[in-house]
Amino acid sequence: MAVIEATGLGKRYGAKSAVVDLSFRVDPRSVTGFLGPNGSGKSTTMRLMLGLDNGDGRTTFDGVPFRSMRDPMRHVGALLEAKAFHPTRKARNHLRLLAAANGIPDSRVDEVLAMVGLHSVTSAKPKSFSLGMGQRLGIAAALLGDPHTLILDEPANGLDPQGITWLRNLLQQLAGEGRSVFVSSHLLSEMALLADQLVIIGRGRLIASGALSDFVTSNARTAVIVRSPDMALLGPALAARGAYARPGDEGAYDVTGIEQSVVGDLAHEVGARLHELSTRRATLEEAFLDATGMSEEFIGGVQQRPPAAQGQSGDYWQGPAQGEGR
Amino acid sequence: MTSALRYEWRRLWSIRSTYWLIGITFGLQLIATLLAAMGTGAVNDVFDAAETVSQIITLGAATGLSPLFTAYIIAMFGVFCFGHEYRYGMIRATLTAVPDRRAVFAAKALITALLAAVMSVGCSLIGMFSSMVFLDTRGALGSEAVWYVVLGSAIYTMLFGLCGMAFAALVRNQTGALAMILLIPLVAENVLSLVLRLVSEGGSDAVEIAKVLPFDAGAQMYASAFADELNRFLGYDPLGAVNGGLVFAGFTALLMAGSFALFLSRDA
Repeated sequence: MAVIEATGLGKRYGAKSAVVDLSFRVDPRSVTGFLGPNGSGKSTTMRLMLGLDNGDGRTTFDGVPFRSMRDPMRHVGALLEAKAFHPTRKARNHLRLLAAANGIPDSRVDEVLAMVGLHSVTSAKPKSFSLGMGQRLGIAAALLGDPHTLILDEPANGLDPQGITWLRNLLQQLAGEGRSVFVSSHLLSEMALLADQLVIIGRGRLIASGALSDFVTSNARTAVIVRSPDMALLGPALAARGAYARPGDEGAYDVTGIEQSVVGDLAHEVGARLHELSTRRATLEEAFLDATGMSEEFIGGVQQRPPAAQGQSGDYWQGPAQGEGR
Repeated sequence: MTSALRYEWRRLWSIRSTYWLIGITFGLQLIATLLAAMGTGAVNDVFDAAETVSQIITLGAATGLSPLFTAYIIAMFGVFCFGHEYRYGMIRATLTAVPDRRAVFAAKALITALLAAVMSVGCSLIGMFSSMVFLDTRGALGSEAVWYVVLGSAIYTMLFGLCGMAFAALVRNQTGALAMILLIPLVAENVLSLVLRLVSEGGSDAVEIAKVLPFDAGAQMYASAFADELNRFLGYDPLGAVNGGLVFAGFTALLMAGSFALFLSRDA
């Protein structure tokens, strides 16, 4: 077991709150993505979890706070920032240094260097490393103690496409071995492929947590697309089942709050012809932007199209229990 | 604590600056003391053998008229032990490897103090060797007067190195700490001392304050018999080795305590 439990995390910088009463749980055998807009407090949260920043709350790893651990790298591996190493200390010596403090045999150093693909530069000085190579060295440091928990802050930064694929496979393999992997990223497309659980924050507060698939499915943009010349029949029937139908593209309707199969059954019952019946799933990016829209602190000057108007006038049908699914 | 010591020990010996600092310190000391011994000519009545050796190993600092040159190079070990952590963003990696900040600070202090003291003694031994090359000083090498200077300069260098470490931990900036360890003793304290002495000529007790300026007070630990005579001749009565050493040690302890408290309470 390797359960991370964060309870009531909080951090203030003067009058500004960076993290506010943030609680979440990360379970083993999962890659948990930590998402939030820039400046939402992700890195601060990770530092609080490891006792590097002073603040409120408590984080335990299998019931033990990080600062109380003996040989902590054997329990929790962390990557907090790229290129956190002395530029002239050889890659192997950098890891030997960390290993020495945690009772990890030096032989493990070459193992993890090979694991991250740096076996050919073990004696090179990191000042010549690219950002991606620096990230790999940081990941090697996190893996050094063969820990049950990994906390990685933007590990994909600087990695090339092959590197990102390698990272994805590595993290999924590690999670599959029963470890807890907690990883932040601003690359939503990567996170969609990488994570199976999500913790989403905005302005330091928890917005959502749970399975990635639930988060995407529950988003308003996930809808059943219905195209029918008999919407006058089908619309009220959908509304009666608690669904919400609004005009979509090219004469189709976006129906939320109801399964595709139920729409098909209803159409059959009321005798409505169907020219199209399909489900459009929201992307993680759409779901994330909707979830954090109210929390975005640094919205640029570009005007965004407002969400589709909602109401009951015209050709809208809405059930008594509004079925946005959120 | 053993984890922190293992970490700090490997940290020290896995960077090039450790080796070039040792090389520069011992190399410059060898060249400078050889030149000093060659230039001295011969042991005479004013500078007997013990006095001559004392001045050669401290490059004249034992007269009280010049700073202890080697201490300024050796203090860089103290500055670097925290300076590198902040300059290269290593501090978070360090504290995730050793989360006990008290142990991290204590290990750095212990290794800095030990290294500074050992290197200072090494410099003294190099000076003794140089004196023997050109002068007949063999008989004075084991004398109490010489070992008093050797011990005094080792303690001074140790405390000086700890001041460098404390400055780096306080300002969390390597360049700033280097500037502080050079400018505070060499410029700020000397200017202040000069002003206080000038003021005291008007009849005030300002010179008493000048005596407790920490780096100057600490230098009394390696002051030779010649320095004592010179001070008597100038009518200046410094604190002496023990009291001066205590003032410098007290100052260092305050500096260390302040930087320790901030290291514990600040975000990494």
